[in-house]
Amino acid sequence: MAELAAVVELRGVRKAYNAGTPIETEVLHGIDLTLQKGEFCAVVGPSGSGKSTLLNIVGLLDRPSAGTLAINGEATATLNDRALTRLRGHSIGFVFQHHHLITAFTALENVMMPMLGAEEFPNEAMRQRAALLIDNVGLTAWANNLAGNMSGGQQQRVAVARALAMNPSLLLADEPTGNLDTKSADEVFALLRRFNQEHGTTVLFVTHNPLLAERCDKTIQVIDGKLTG
Amino acid sequence: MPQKSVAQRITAATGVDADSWIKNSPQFFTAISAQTTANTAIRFFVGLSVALGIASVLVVVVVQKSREIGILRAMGISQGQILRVFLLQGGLLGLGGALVGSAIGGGGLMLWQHFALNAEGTPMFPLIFDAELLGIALALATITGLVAAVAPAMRAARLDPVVAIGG
Ligand SMILES: Nc1ncnc2c1ncn2[C@@H]1O[C@H](COP(=O)(O)OP(=O)(O)OP(=O)(O)O)[C@@H](O)[C@H]1O
Ligand SMILES: [Mg+2]
Repeated sequence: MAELAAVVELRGVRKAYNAGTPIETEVLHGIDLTLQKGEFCAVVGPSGSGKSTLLNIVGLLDRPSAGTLAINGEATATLNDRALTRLRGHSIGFVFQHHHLITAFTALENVMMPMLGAEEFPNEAMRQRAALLIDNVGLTAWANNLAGNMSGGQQQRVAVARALAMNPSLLLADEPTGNLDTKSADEVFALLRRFNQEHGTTVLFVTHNPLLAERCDKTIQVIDGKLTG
Repeated sequence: MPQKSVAQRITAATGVDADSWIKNSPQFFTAISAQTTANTAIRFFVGLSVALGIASVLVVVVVQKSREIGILRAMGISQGQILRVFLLQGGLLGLGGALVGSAIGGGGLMLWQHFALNAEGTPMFPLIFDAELLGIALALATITGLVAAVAPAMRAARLDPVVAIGG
C-alpha cells in the first residue's frame, strides 16, 4: 500500500484565517489535489488567491480548518507538532521566494541545517552530503563563503541544495524565481527539474511566469481559493 | 550554646575570666548579623536583576531572530531543539557573566591587597581564595541564566512558523 500511496493527497481542504473571530475569512474553499511520485506541478493564479496558503498547508507548516491531508499515505490530521515536524523534516523540502538562508553561516553550513534537525547524521557524513549537494548546484567554489556575501541567484541555489538535504519526496517551491533575473531563474528552474528527474522528487512550484509554468508536467490554477484547470 | 561552652572551657583551662563576646558586645553582634542579612538581600536582588537582564536580552533576540526560527522550523528543527538553543544561550550568558565578574572581582581584590597596606607594610586583610565559593557562584549564575531563559525559549519554540517566516 505504501508504495502506491500518492505523495500528496488533499481532500476537501479548507482554510480560514482568524477562525472564530468577527474577521474570519476563508481563503481556501475545498481543495482536492493528488500528486504522484515524480510529478512536477506548477501552481499559478493571481496574487492573494491562496497559493502560499496551500503550500503552507501541504508543507505541514499550517493546519487545514477542514478536510484531510496525507503525505506519502500518512494521514496528518491526528499528528502532534513533534510528529509533523519529523515528517516535514524527512519528507518535505522548502524553497521560498526569498532565499531565507542564515546569512552569517557559510553556504555549506546552511545546507547542513536540515540534517542537524534530523539528529541522525554524524558530523562528517553531514558535511560530505552538504558538499555533494553544493557541488550539484554548481557552487563548490563558494561552499565556504558566507551566504550573506553571495549573489541572489547563488543564494537561491544554496536554498535549493538545502531543501534537498534530506532527499525529500516532496519539494515545495513558492515563487523561488520571483526575485531573480531571467538567467538565474532559468538556472534555478533547471536545477529543480533535474532533481525531479534524477531522484523522482515530487515538486509543487508556484510561479507567476507562464513560460516556466509551461515547462512543468501539469499546471493547477488557484483562483479565489479554488482549483481550476 | 557553643559560645558559652568555649568561654567556660577557657575559664576552666586557664583560670582567666572569659566570657562570650556576643554577650559582652551585643551591638557589635547585631551590626554583624544585620550586615549578613543586608548581604543576602543584596545578592538576591543582584541575582534577580541579572535574571531579568538575561531574560530581556533573550526576548529581544527571539524577536530579532524569529524569521530564522521560522525557517529552522520549516527545515524540520523541532520545538524541543529551538527550546534547547535558547536555554543554552541563557545558561552560557549566566556562566560567561559570572566568569567575567569573578575575574574582575578577583583582580580588584588582588589590587586592593597590593595597595591597602598597614603601617608596617603588611596587607590590611588576608586574601583567601575560596574555590568552593567560586564554584557555587558560577553554578548559581548558570542556573539563574537557565531559569531566566525559560520564558523566552518557550516563546521561541512556540512561534508559528508561517507567521515567523512572514507569509
Ligand atoms: N496570516 C494570515 N491572516 C489573515 N489572512 C491571511 C493570512 N495569510 C494570508 N492571508 C490572506 O489569504 C489570502 C491568500 O493569501 P496567499 O498568501 O495564500 O496568496 P498567494 O496566492 O500566495 O498570493 P501571492 O501571489 O501574492 O503570493 C490573501 O487574501 C491574504 O490576505
Ligand atoms: Mg504567495
